[in-house]
Amino acid sequence: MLASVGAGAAPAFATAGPSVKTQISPDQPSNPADTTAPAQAEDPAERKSAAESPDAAAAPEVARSRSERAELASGGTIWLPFAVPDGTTPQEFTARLSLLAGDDSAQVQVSSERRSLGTVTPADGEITLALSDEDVVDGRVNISFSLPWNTGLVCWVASETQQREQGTRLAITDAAINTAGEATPPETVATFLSPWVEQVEVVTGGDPQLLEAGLSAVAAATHRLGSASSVSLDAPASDTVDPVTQRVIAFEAGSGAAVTGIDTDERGVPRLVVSGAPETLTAAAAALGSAGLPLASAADTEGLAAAPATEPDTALSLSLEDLGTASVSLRGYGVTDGFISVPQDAFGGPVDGYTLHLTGAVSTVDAVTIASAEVLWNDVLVDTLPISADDPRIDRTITIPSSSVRASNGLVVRLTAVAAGGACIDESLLPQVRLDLDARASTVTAHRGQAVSPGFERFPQALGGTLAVATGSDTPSVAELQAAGSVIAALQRVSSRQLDITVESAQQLIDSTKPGLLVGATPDQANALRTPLRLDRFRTLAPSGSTELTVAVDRPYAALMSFESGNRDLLVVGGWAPNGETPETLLVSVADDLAGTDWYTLSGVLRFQSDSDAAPQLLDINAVVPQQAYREDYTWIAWVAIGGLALLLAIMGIATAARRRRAVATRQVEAEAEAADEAAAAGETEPVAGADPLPADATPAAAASSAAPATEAAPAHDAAAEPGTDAGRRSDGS
Amino acid sequence: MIQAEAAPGRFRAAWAALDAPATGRRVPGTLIVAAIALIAGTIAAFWSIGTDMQFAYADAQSHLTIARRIFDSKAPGFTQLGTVWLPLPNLLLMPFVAIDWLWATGWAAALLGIVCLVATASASYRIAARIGLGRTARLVLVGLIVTNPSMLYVHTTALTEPVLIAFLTASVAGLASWALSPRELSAGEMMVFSGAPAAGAVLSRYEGWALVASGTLFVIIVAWRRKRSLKHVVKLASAFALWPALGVLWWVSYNFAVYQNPLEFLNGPYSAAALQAPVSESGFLAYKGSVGLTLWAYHWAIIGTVGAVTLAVAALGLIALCARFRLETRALIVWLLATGWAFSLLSLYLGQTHLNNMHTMPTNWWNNRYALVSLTWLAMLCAVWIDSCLRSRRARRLGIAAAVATIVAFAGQLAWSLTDLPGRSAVLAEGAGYLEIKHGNGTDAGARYLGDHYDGGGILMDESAAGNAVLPQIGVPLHEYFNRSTGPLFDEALRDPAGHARWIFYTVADAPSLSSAAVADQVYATLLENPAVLAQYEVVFSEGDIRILRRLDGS
Repeated sequence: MLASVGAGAAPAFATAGPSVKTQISPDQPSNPADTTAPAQAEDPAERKSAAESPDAAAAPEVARSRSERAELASGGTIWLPFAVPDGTTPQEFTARLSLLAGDDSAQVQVSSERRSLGTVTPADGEITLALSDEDVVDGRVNISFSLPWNTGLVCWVASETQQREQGTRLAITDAAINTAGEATPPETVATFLSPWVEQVEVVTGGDPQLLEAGLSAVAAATHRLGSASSVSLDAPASDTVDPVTQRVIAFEAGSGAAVTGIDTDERGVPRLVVSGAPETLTAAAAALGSAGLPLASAADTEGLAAAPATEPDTALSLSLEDLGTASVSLRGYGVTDGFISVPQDAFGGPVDGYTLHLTGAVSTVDAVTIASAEVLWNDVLVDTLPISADDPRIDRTITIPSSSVRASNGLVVRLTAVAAGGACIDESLLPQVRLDLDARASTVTAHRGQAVSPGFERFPQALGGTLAVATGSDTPSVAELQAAGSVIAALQRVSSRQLDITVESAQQLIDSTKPGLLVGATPDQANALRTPLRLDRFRTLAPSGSTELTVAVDRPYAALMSFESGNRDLLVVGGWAPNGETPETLLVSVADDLAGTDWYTLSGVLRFQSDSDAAPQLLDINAVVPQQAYREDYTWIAWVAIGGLALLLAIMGIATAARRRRAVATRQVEAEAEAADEAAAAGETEPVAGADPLPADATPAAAASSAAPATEAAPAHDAAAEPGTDAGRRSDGS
Repeated sequence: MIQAEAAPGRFRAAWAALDAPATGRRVPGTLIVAAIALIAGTIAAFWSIGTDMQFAYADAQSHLTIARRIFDSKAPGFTQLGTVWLPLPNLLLMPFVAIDWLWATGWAAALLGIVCLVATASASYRIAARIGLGRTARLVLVGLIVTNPSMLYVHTTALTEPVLIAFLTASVAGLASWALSPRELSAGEMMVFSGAPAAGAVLSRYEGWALVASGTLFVIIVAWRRKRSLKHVVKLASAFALWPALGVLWWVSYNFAVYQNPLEFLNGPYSAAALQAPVSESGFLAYKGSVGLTLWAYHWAIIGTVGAVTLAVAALGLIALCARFRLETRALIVWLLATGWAFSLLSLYLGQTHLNNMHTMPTNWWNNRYALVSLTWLAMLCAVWIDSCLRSRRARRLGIAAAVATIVAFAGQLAWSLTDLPGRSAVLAEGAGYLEIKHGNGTDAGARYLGDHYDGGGILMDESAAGNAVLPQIGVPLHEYFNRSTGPLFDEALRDPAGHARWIFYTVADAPSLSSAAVADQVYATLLENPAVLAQYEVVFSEGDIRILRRLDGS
């Protein structure tokens, strides 16, 4: 995982917690190193999840240890927050530094918010720095790493490669804090899911009537603890026991309102027991992720509940602040980026375009500076902001077309300032260049629609905050429960809001028009839903280099599929084995692996694992030879075609019969008219009784035709009235 | 003053001509339609060439290359026509590609395309006039053809569909003229106005061969209806089929003369069947043998190219056609236009054609342009629907309302398409995808580099390898190349690259899955087998999959 470097801003973690907000510091000093900052991951989704500095991206989740990698470059600062469990005192901070480029003796300043912890170099490798109570602020220790420029000169080199060679880059891994003392066990429901909790086991005992509560608890705990947490449903108990970072939430079916109690399980892990009538437990479980949970200031509560919002939050216009960016203030020389994550999910549903409205101001640029400001959307330049001495105001409206919309999007405001002439200049000689956006007045307006192809990328925004879950059978296996929990946790990690979980039967979900999740799908259910991969043996393209073009997959496998069924998007987890039994181990594995996967990195429609695969893999559905069941889905079209052909023949037959009737009528009229003429010629003056001189729908042309002496069967009036008819041609004798 | 009065007069005359019936060979309004098509085709050409879309399809560049290498090659001659494609589109391109600028910019193809668009629109209009459709219906017909983005785009490229559609429509127009003429036309006239265009279609794409069959059946039916004389039927059917038959005979003879196999085009190593065999054998042609999937895949291709509104209105037009014209000659003429549609369905069902879109498995854009051959038929059905609405006597107001609503729907469809051309047209989406790939894998940049830096000395390049069909983009005269089309010279150059070519252009990309060895880069394969060759060259361009080497000696 990459992390952004930036200026030495004060940490801005005020909102850290379940939904840590992106912050851009208002006080960042000039930062020439940003020109080379490796923190700007190529993929916006990667950026969003990155542990980035306050000036550039989202703050990392609070934790006691961090396994992800952060990178730091010359001129940059990175902040790593760590939670300190109640009752403990931080003793030391440990991490590993490794040089990526440049000088391995470069001085890295490490500080907490209150004091300097020391100076280290990449050559030190593993570092240990002492901590104390003094470093704790609001239950956290925020540790900063700063790598200043050695020269004090501001340089700008157009080539990123050359610039990187000028500075130093290093990686920070395995960062952790060690604490002393015994952590205070959770004593209230409100503190049960503390920020330092990393693993939660939700237990329902496999009781189907507790499934909805269990799944809701998974969503609630994941929502509260953030993306660094691991939340499971009915999974085997963890082998390693850490009462500080582990929790158990157990549901017990009973009667009456939901009541809670806190104890420890047989391993000594704190356990929250929620019991009551099953229909009350779902609301109680959802309450664990609620913003109002601090009100539950006791271990024993009754009637714990959080009702879902009566109206889903589907605001189509959000300010940058709503999107988690308290401020955007870019300043300094080189390239300085402000990154704002814009997931579709934040708008409560799928989006097929955006309108950006950016307002703010930029400082005056004098003659010794060349500056420009750009707006990039998903790394593509979409606009440039004017930097003019005449008008410091920024007021731009930018349209983002459907083709540029992804599930998770990255908006970057980039300030580039260079010394005129391109030479290295002492930083103190240069005036400040600054660009501020008004995070409240600047907005992103979404346009409802669908911009991405069916597949994993449609989630979580397709859900709109609610998820219907079904299992293949009415009595789901433990494997199905575990798989459902894993998928929900993965979806919740990238959802802007807590998912509202409902459990339905498989048939209800199949018949429904809502998006949802079906776990443990049977082959028949897969066929009914027209899943991309039917749960049967199949053939697929052989791996590259094989002499065989396709290979048969006839070993047990499991698959997670994301696809469009009707006009809704579905997730289906299912498996197949030659003996007809569901391969439960694979079913768990294919979903459980999502715990270490950022949902936004999933692509395509099919995640697959056979019993010969060590881990699930994304399988290109286009590499799968269409299965027989797929071909049979389209048999009805042949019958429709046959019906259409029969309809056309019937129409022709009816039209021909009608034409003949008209021809007969015309002939009769002509005969009668002829008889009348003959009678008139014979001196009779009375018309033939009952004779209709013209058919009701005859045209003047037809009338004229009928009035003319007929030498052969006259054409029908509709044909004779039009040029080019057979009848017309036959009248020419052809 | 006189001129000011003359202009409205001319307009009124033109307006009247668009509603006038055909008289003999003359169909009033044809020139007006030709002018409209000319303008539309020209606008499309400027757009396509201005956005580099004219070279998006590799096949388009291959056709330009084939046409030019007949006279510009180290091994020139008509054998350069090869056997992968039927020869006429390439032969028709020859006079255009002879001019370097036209060839290297793609205007050579666009000019031919404009001619074809004019021919298709004019012929369609003449058919509509002959079967008695009124002005509004005729204009709708022409409008659907000359405003279809997919149709217009294809006509700016060197793909073979424009030539096929033009000849196919012209042949049907000739047959319509014969069948509906009050005057008995001679067999000679049949040969000139129907048989010759059919021969053009036969030598353009294999859909043309189907036209010969359906056209001959049409002639038999109509001739029999006219005189009920077997001799008359045989004479006219022979007159129609003679030129196409000679075309087929020439093609078979050419294959025999060049490849010693009269059916080389059918079963040779470069035949469509051979190139497609791995896909077919692997089971990826899901529609092969499935009526339902065949209809599903092809009609989604139609929706993606012709438009959903057009398809829906055409279905109404089909009902109107059956109810109004039954099995009259006029109806048979319209059905004759369905030859391409029927042939495409049959080809898909038999697994002879490879077509994918977003509603098939595999899901991607592939060959949806094949659906364009149905456009003239569907547009004619739409015109029949409009005409039937306007001629309705029993519910005149309802008919007018239906016609107006239909025209508004067509306009809406066009406006919707124009807002996002690659997103709304399967043909453009496929082309845009190819462009993106070529931008991403270095092909565009490599072609530009070689074109800018080539200083003589010869180029070794396997232009048949997947992604290497960029010779027009490079713009270097073809006699500078040692490539597959030069036969033994290519083999010699592969054995001793430095002794033949100062420049080497190759791709390191794997040949696409499910493709035969015919599209693997033989130059790259040779370099892998004999890396010592590299010691004599320096890499002067390396981006994505493309490498360009220049001989070290500087000579």
